[in-house]
Amino acid sequence: MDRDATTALTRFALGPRPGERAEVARDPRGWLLAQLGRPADALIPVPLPASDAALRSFIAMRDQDQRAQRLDIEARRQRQTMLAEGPLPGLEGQPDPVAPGPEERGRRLLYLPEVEARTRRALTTPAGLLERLVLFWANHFAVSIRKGGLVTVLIGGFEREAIRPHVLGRFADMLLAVERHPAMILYLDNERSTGPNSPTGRARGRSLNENLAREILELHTLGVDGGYTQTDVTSFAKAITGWTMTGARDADGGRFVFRANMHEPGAQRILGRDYGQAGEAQGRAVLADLAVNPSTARHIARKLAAHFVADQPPPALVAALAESFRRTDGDLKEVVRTLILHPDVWAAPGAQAANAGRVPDRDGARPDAAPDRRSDPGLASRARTALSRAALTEGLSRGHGELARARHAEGPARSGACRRDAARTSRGCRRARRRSLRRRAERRDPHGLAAGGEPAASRHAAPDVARDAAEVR
Amino acid sequence: MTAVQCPLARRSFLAGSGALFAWAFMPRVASAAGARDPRFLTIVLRGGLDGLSAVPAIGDPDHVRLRRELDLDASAVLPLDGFFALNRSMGHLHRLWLRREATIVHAVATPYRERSHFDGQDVLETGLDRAGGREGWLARALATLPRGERTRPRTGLAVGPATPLILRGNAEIVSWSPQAFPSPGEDTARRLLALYEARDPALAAALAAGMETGRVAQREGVAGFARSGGPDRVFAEQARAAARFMALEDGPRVAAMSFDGWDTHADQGPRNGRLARLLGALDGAVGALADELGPVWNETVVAIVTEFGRTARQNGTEGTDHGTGTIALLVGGAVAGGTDRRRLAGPRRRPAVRRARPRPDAGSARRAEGRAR
Repeated sequence: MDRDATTALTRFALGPRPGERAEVARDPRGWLLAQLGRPADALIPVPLPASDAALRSFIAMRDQDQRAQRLDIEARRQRQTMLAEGPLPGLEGQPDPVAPGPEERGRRLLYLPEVEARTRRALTTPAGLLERLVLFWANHFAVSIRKGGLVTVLIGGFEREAIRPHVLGRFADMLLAVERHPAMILYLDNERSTGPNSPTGRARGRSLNENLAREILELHTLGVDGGYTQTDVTSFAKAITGWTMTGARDADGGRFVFRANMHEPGAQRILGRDYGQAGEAQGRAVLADLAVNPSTARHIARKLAAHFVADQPPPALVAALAESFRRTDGDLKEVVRTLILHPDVWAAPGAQAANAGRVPDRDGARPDAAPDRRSDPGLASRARTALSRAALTEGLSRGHGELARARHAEGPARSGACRRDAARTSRGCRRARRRSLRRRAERRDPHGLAAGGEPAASRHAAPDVARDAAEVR
Repeated sequence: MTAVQCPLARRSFLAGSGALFAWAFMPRVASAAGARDPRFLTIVLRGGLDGLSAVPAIGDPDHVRLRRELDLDASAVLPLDGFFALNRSMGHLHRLWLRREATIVHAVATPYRERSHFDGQDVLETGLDRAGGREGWLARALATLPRGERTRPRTGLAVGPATPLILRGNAEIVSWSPQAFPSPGEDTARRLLALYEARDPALAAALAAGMETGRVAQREGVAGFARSGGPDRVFAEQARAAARFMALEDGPRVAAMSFDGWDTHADQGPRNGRLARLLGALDGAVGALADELGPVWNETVVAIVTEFGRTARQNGTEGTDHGTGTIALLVGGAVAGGTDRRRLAGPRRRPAVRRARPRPDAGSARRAEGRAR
């Protein structure tokens, strides 16, 4: 019983909140299944700007900065002419090193609050399973702040708008929301991809960028061995030409828009099927088919099983998940239900630890003890080190097959976080650390008493865990 | 290097600490005078380097036709053999090439013919002909090196946040990554170690090993650095760190590291933009390696490889999509032995390649990079 509670809390959720273990132990499976009935628990209701608004204000910031810089250069130039001296240092328009540039301000104003919100959510949520699903899907549909300022200010909105509403919904809906989101369109370079025979393509000699199409097939749906060819990639890239976003300086800028002028005319043959639809409907039809393709079912099943159970998951579990996905046309709630109810999940040893453990609040106070605290910059910065690397920074080119599956766990090993023993990779090492952390957490609060009984003890113990949690990443 | 007055005590300390940088404390008999003591470092460029931006075929008329905005004319390159040239961002490499300490090999590819980064990197790093292997070829090579009583250190070194696949497998590996956080005090570390020893010996061994690496790093001036800064700083600093470890009398001899960011689908910028900056950063790393390895540079080979090249024809967004052939670089004082190190092996000049891919009707640029879409 206790083991099942541990499995429910660590394999499926984010570890126990104070006092939660006893509640979970009464009915571990029931505790998880109940979360499937509360999809709204995956949403973050705090007022954060929608991603299009975030993008617009970032661009405004950048424009303003450039204007200021131009004025500054102009002023210096005039002064220089007046003084008739040699060139002044900094004339090249380098921004003042002391004042943060627009990229940094965008990061602070638009990105860190998102990190803080999701960190706080991870700390306080009663629905740890849903938060794990968010992490899984945010990793599956990875976008990264390494792409630069625009993606950085969009990334929080991306997760809230394209991932969270769909973790218990239909895969097809999540897929469509993701691929139409400006964060993904920018991250995988579709914003300027143009049909060579479209009006814009002909007028300006513009052409395709196949990045998004390839990664939809390889990473988001079918999987690398899912049976597509280079021709399919190119045809699919043509089908989604014109999927772009409105100009960030427009009043309604930063939103998905289909631009017919950029769209490659004509039917496309993809995976042996002809798509004769016009306009945006063509790409939508391809995505709808990809979402229920048996290869997609297998790919998602394998990744889910690897995420929640083991790098080499039991084949029976993968088969059951794939079957559930196929039978329901990708109803993710049913797929997760299959996962929860599968005996292998509860029998497999060594739960994959929660990949975003609870990071205690500053000074170790229980985070849920101060729900009305508006802002805690310290939390955001701890979250940056402890969490943001997990889901928000990893880029595509990092990948190995193995790392791609484990990207959520990827992060800088610290000097000292590695071992010479060849049999255990640095990942194994991180896992060992996590196991130890978990044991420590349980040792500290073996009966889940902390909520009622021992604030002093938890205050004392918490900073260690924070530090270690940061190390794990 | 500390003296070896009390080997017994030293040895027991090593046993207790996991003996990570054991060689750092061994008597120097390990490297007998006059014996060869080669170093080998592999740098994996992740994302697929566009070989025709790094080493453009300026003598090929197809180059301009396929490259359009991405074309590099004579003002943007450093001369090599007249047909190929080197991107102007790579001054260190050019200097080394002139000194015959660099070989540039064009039109290379692994056996992998699909276009997935992940599978391509798998093949590149496992040395197998398909993806899915879990052991790196460098790790396998390392594991077969003879050990002997004059221990040639055969522990591999991985510099960077994650051990790359190329060094994973059945070989002893130590990894080191620059610190993003302030170091804990020695006392804190020891307490943690005691805690781990009581609860989790595997974790304790890992921590001890890491602490030992950290000490060596500190002693040898391999400074950690803030993680901020552009790729130029990060590349050069990581390369410098690798070089300092490898330059040690008893330091590691085989190492690997990887640099990200080469997946240039849009606004590739081979002249002044993104790729120029990345190439400049890589070049800075090459320069740092030559600097730091100093006296042992003559015994060093650095291999710089990437999972695949990019299409010869530029795409619709002033970038290039995934392709096949690209360049590989061998740099170091030990490169190419007695042969002509200036040889720039390209498809026109390399019968083996021409035999393998007879396409007499296509331009060299196209041959060099595999078929454009």
